[in-house]
Amino acid sequence: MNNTDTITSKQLIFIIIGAQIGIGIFSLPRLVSAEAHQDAWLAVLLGALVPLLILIIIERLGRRMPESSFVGMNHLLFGRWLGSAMVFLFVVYAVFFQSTVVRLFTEITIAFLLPRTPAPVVTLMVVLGAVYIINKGARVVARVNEVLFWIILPLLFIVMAPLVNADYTEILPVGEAGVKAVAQGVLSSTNAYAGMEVLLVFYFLVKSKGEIIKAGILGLGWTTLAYLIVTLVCLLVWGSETIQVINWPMLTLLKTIKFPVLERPELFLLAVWMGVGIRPTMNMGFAAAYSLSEVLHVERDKYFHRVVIFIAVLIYILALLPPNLIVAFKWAQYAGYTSLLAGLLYPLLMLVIAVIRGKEAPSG
Amino acid sequence: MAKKGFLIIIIFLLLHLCGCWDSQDLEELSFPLAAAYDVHSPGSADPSDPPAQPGNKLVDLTTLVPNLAPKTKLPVNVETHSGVTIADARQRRGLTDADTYVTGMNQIIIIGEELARCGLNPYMDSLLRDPTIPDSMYFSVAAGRGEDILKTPIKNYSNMGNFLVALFKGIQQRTFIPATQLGEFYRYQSTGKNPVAPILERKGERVIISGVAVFKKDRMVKKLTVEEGHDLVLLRGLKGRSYLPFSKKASETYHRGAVLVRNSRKVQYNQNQQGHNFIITVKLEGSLEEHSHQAPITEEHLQEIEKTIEQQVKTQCETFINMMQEEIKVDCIDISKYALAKTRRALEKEIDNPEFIQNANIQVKVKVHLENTGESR
Repeated sequence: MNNTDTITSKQLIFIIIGAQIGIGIFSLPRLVSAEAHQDAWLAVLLGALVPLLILIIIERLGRRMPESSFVGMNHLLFGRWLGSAMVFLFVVYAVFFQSTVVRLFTEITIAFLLPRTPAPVVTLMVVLGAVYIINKGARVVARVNEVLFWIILPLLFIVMAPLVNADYTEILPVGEAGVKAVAQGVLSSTNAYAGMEVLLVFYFLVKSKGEIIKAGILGLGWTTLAYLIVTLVCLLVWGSETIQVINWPMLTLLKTIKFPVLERPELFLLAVWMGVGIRPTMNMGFAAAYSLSEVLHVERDKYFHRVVIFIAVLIYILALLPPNLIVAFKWAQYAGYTSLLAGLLYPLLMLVIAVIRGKEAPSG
Repeated sequence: MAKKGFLIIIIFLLLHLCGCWDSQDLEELSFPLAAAYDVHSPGSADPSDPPAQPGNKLVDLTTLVPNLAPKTKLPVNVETHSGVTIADARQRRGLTDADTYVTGMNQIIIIGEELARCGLNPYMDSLLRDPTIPDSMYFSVAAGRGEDILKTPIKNYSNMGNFLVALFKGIQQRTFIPATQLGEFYRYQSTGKNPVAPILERKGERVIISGVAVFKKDRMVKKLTVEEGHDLVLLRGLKGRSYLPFSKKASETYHRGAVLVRNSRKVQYNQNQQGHNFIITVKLEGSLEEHSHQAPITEEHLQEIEKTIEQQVKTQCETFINMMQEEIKVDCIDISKYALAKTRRALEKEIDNPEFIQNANIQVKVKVHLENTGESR
């Protein structure tokens, strides 16, 4: 393990937040309220249980093999060939998921900020920025996540400003949507909550393993708070019915207010969010590149950048494939469902096999 | 070698940050301040009318653009273009106007009366889809054509657009008339809700607010007078501040005066065998501003004034509610949402039917609290 790849548990908090909060937050209220209606905020709150479960499973798994890397764990549990195949599948998932994130990021940027700039150019800018940071190692990735996190806090206050137009009856009666609708809403939120699975890779890189659960819970707590605020404000202002016709309710929400100097707060938020929005690509991109370089036995110091560029090219090509925004949203929905496979079922399978076979990494 | 490669990447990034595709020269831009949408039937005498399907109306887009170029004769440019749709009218403007429109600075949208009665959503779809258009712009209806409002000359302001922005900006602090924004117009089309908007009218060489338009979703169904608009605002709970005159005959003396009050409302809802029951409590708080009685005001006298205003406002509100239930048949006072808040699933299919509001039992209570009598007693 390279020195530039060790991170602290505090940095892990920001990595988890960064892996989850990206572009999904803009359309989250619409997706969840399509199923859960006025109880969408309940579904968002309950949706946090899924990544919490993932956190616990991965932590338990990592505790059994604390010195193993993600690739090492797979080799130990599935054997060399099958284990490598599982790692490849994980890399494929990460690339696919991030391509949808990058594509939606591009769409929002073009719609609101740069309508004449071709999509391949915007996508290239996003991917190149992520490539540069990933190449510097996990520690730099973590530090960038930390810096960008502190930008989100004031933005959340701006998001709450439209509450002057809030109507509390829009979220009443509480619970009337029903258990089934709320459960479907929870499923719709998987895309936004996806990202906890990066812990499969970053677990090994954390110095103090005993603080990982605490860090994970704190990170998830912040993510849930941000999602809950955005969903509640959108519901209170727009109502679950009106939200359905808006692609990105969080952004359109800010068009309803203006401040004395800042007349278009949504453009200000979006300009700042340009940096925040590439964090999932950075984090998952690093996880994919790191795992791939390890399984291919690539020399970290000399050739890691080639693996990073290879991953970036794949993300770039996939991001440009959807012919329009509607297809891009559909891909993002599928990516959300596959995150349940990669984030929940896959570590669970590993844990079950580890328990059954009594596998633990040899010490020393 | 890798470091040089990354340096090249960084420089490439920086070059593209200049926005090669999206950079625009400020002098080639126009910033429309106000717009008006109207309709007319094709086949009129105007030879520049675009071809249209028989039976379909053509839309007229009038834009008011302050002329920012120095030393120009006209401070403002008001132009009307017709098209099959609003977007079609915009592209026709490109044939006569050298500048690129920046729609993000638009602050007023005025809808012509005929268009408002047709149903607005098909015509206003472009406003919802365009990310540059702010939802905070003021929305109003014109008595007649919106074009006439924008083309009215104005003396005390640089242009009609600035006058209208100033008119709407503080209107709820001056009188009980709603100031509706575009985002609000969209929000109030959901189940159980209906929007309202102020009506602008050209009277001679002036533009005034002459009433309030009531919509059933996106279609205007009733024009209210200014006085009816006051009652609507009180019952709807739109926060405002206004002078309220009162009068009472006591013995042979006629007492007249006015109070300056701000309003709020509370709505209680319950459903029983009689049906849907609403109790609207209108609360008015403020101060005594004017009184014809020349002696110092006692506590009893102040309470009597409060009771007089309570009775007066209650009567006006009850008259308005009768009109709403008998004539308008649309919930324009925004009370249906309280019923939805209790049983959304059961009511959402029927709540927008006229029968719901027609058969609802609506009671009004008014509470007035005058905090002081001003500088004199």
